[in-house]
Amino acid sequence: MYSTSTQKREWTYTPEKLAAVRLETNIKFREKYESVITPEELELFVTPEEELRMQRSIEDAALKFADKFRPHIWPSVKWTALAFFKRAFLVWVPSDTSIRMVMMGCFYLAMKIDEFYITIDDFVKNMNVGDPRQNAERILKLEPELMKVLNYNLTVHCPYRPFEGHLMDMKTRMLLLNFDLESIRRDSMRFFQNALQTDVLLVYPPSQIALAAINFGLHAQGKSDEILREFLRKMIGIEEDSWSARDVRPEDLEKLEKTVTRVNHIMREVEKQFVAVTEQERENHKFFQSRLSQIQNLLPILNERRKEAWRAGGCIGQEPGLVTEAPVDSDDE
Amino acid sequence: MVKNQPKYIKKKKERCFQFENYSGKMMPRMGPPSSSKQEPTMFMSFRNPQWPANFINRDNVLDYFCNQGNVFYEMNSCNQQIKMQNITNRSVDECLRNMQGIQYVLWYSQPPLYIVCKQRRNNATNVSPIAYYYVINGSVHQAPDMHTLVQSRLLGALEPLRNAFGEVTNYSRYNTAKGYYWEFKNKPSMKKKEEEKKEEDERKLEERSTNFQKTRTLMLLNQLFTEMPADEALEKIDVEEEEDPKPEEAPSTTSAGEPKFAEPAARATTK
Amino acid sequence: MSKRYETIRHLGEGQFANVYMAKDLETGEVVAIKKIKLGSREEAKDGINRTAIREIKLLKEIHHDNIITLRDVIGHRTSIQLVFDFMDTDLEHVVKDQSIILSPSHIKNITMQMLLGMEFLHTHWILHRDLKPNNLLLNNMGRVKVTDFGLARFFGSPNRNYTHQVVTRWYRAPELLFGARSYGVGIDIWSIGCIIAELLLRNPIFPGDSDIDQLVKIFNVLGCPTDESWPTMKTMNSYVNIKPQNETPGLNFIFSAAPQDLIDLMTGMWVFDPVKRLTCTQSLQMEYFRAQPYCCLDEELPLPNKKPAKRTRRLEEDGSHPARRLIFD
Repeated sequence: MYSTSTQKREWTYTPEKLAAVRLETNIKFREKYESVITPEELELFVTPEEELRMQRSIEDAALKFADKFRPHIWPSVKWTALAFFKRAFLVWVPSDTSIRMVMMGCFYLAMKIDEFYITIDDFVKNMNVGDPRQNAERILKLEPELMKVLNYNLTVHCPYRPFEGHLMDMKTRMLLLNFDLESIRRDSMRFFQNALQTDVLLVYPPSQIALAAINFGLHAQGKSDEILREFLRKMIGIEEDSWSARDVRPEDLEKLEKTVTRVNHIMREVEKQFVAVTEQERENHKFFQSRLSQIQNLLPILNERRKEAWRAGGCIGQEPGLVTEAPVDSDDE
Repeated sequence: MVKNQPKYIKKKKERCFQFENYSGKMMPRMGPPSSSKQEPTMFMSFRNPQWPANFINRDNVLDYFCNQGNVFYEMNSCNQQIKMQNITNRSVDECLRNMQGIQYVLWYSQPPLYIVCKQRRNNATNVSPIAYYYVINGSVHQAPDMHTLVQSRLLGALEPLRNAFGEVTNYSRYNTAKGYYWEFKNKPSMKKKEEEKKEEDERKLEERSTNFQKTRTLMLLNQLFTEMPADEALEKIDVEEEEDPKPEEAPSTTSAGEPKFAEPAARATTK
Repeated sequence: MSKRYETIRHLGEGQFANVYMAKDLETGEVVAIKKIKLGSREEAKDGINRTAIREIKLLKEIHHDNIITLRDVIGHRTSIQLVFDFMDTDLEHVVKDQSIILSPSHIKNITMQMLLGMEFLHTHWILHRDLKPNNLLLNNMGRVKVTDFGLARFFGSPNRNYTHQVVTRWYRAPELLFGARSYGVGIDIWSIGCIIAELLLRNPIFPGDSDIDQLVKIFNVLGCPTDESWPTMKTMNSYVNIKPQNETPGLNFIFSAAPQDLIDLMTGMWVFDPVKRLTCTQSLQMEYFRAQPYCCLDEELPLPNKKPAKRTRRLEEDGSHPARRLIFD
């Protein structure tokens, strides 16, 4: 049930809030090292925009990985994995982690969440980089950390189910449509695929994203918004009959208009945010990757500096970089 | 509940079918406690032919009584709850003490007579008796309450008296000269014939009583009477006697509907 | 850092987890902590155990009085610890304790709480898939809570097949025994019926020792389904034709002291055709809950006298009793 879900409560943002969270995470990371870093080194650090671009190109690669994955995975695994990924990088920064590995970890966790049964060995067979054993180890090590950063909110509501539901409703309620509704499916799926590389799943409820996908499919078939409008009218329960139309409650009409506007907005957002990853972007990605590895090489040095500073400062407060969690009980075997 | 009632009763009827030939009547099984009042339980009896009467003893008489076919036994009683729940390693008495609701306990035992008390337990120390049942030689009867007993006795006395008056009016004559006088002629009235017939019936009934009834019960009941006068029996109850034993809906015609299967106990005491 | 939870004692150990009783130092409440082992052990070679993941995933989303609350999750490098409400006992212990007699109003209360919890789950599109007495916990306030979401999952996705190897056999619905791959709330309702029966009889009603025997035991009590009563029966994957042994005694005979309205409820929960079986909401509207005797107060529910020193239920699941063994996906 989406209305009471952790997704709605904790992982849905307004676009402004989303940008703010990303900025804050980025700044926090910088601040950690600000006191000990040299200006040249600081140059290496990435901006939130760059981080986002990195994320997008990883997402692009991940979707290709997902499509090639054997055995075939169902779309909701993809959706769940990318939702995890986006959520995780609201807390983590790419500089601090192996962004590619995190994506693999997200996929592995998403498969478990979505009851897609696969062993870790079969999973890593699908990865074409790195040593399988090492990959497996890294993914398993990431798993609990990933769950923690997700605040153990592991249920992701995907738009595929509402999509099927809306489609079924349309088929049964709108008998006068003189074309095959199934024809929109291919375009709608493409819409979902594109939407995965945008922020819409952090901003809108899944059922509205599903409506947007339907409308996208309808547009692709050369239909206008009218079909969607009519469908919504039936869903909300507004009579079309001019006689009873007088009884229509204004709040119902308002709801209808709001939903239509919202759906169109989502469509525009996806169009705007989704940039097919170009060759140029891939080049950029390589560049980012090298920058990231530079940063990652730098981090241990920086951490060492922080520790020194801490000691020089008379060991006040928490020692930097120390794991601060304590187990519930001491009988760890 | 109301909707289900007919089905329920039907089911129960089927269950006691095997006893039908003995009790002579097929009575609908007692429903929930509230409805049991309406049934003339006083005329009913129960016997389980699968149990030889001499196998019944102090320890198993309650098992004998707590039978699905027994018209006096309520299936939703505590006793049945215990049975259904398969509580096997505790004594029934101990279980009952911790329960609330309708319970059956052994009240008195002097083989071959056992008295089972049906009571409502309100808590561990407070019970209100509802009815008593005799189990004698394998037959279960309900002990009459005071109201039924008195009514039955009164009717028993009044009916012959009424008949006598009726008979006697036939012979009274009036004449202005003589005033009232009796006139007896030889022709026997119709009434008399009937009377005779009835007497014959009754004699037949008496003959039907077994040797067991004639010998052992009389002794037993005399003993019972001396041991346990009626007033004392009531005092034994550990509750204040706020209520008489449940005033059973008395049958309106005790003598008319004399059951084929009369209570041997009552008969023995009156003679 | 101060520890929020202080261990009181070890409660039991299972294949994937240790369970501890602990004190929440922030609130002073007693909690149960399930510590899921991580690391390179054979069982954990695919990472965090699926059952634990299911529990976290589902319990984080739902909050209801009759469903165990996942109060907290503590991540640690070598373990994940799930903090639950502490519950004194479970219905299996209640059922097995001969010093307890369950009165009709006790049974009504337990049934009601069970149904309320399950109704909530079902309206949130969650199937429990492993209902049985030891997955219904009871605390000293008389609150019944559904627990163990290790097999639970969301349902309702079209074209998704589920495994039929769920639910401990004795509580498994006939469609599962026939190998149904798509099923719904009916399987939980069937189990609830079996649990009510077990409260009444204090013994499992259908203690089958194989899948076939399970069906036989069911049919011996309820009679055989017919094409009329269950039209889709013969289309099931592993449908087998079983002839009834003899006349069934009828539920009134088996549950001799149960009132008719309760028999009606159970009959509705044990309708063979899952489509026609009662739902939780319908069950709660049955006459049974409107008739006397009413539910007892929660605090009147009996608890076993001597608390089990260690909760061994997790151990049992590991297979010491073959019939009760869980088959994981």
